[in-house]
Amino acid sequence: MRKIALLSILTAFSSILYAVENFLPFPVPFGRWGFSNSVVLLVASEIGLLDALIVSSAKSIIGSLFGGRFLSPSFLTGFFGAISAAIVETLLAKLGFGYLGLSFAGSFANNLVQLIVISLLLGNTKTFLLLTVMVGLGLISASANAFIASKMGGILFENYSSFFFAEEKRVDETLGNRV
Amino acid sequence: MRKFFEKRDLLIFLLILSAFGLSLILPKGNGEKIVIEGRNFRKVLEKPGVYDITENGRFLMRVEFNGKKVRVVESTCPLKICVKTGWVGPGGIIVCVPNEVIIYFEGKMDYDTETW
Repeated sequence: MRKIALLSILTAFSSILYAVENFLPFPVPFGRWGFSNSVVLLVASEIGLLDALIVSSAKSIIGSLFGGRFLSPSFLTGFFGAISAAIVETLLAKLGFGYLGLSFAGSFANNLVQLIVISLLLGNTKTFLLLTVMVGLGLISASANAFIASKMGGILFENYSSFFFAEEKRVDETLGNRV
Repeated sequence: MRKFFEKRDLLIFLLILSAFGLSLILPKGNGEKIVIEGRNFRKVLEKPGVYDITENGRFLMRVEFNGKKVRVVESTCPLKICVKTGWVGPGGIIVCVPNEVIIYFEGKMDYDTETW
């Protein structure tokens, strides 16, 4: 139950970031800086694949509902991008990479999948010309995301380390402990 | 708790950077013609000038081509991302998603028709 509470707090935080960063300027069409993916990075690298998938899809859906762009093209790109980033980050986290490397790999997968989705929507592969620009900008936002995620993880582990993997304690039923 | 930076992160960084560099080195088409592709039309611009793009009689956007670069002067889409893209040179691309229009330079090498 504690894990559900933690995941829902993180999802709420992430979906608010997702909705708010629509207002930040970004040089490439369809793009946003993607600071909400730092939460996905944290969950993917520290908790697990299933939870990362839940958080990433939930934050895209809730965040796009806030922004009023549910099921629009930019929702679809964000949704599939976040899911693919979560998968890549969880798989690479098992190989012992740090936050920075995971974030780079995640942003690369995110950009690639986003462009694949856009090209499927438009039926044209010319959109892949945007890949260089998006990857270049992705390196900047990926470093920012890794920094945010490591700070966030540090705070979580300092204060609420019992959130992670803690079994719920049952009432001690042994006879001598009853008061 | 995972570290912020491990030495093996450099590997991923170098991999991405090499992919990034490779795509810069790869030859781009020499921009002579501009292709404007929409949902059910395809228009090729060869001479400099200002062109109105219409689809089934509906005005979509106005495109300016000065011989080397191309830009969208005005458009009917809500966010005007294609207008804000500004001048785009060879190898660049302007995408207008609401109007479903893609503007790009036609290169000599067109890998798109290759089917393995």
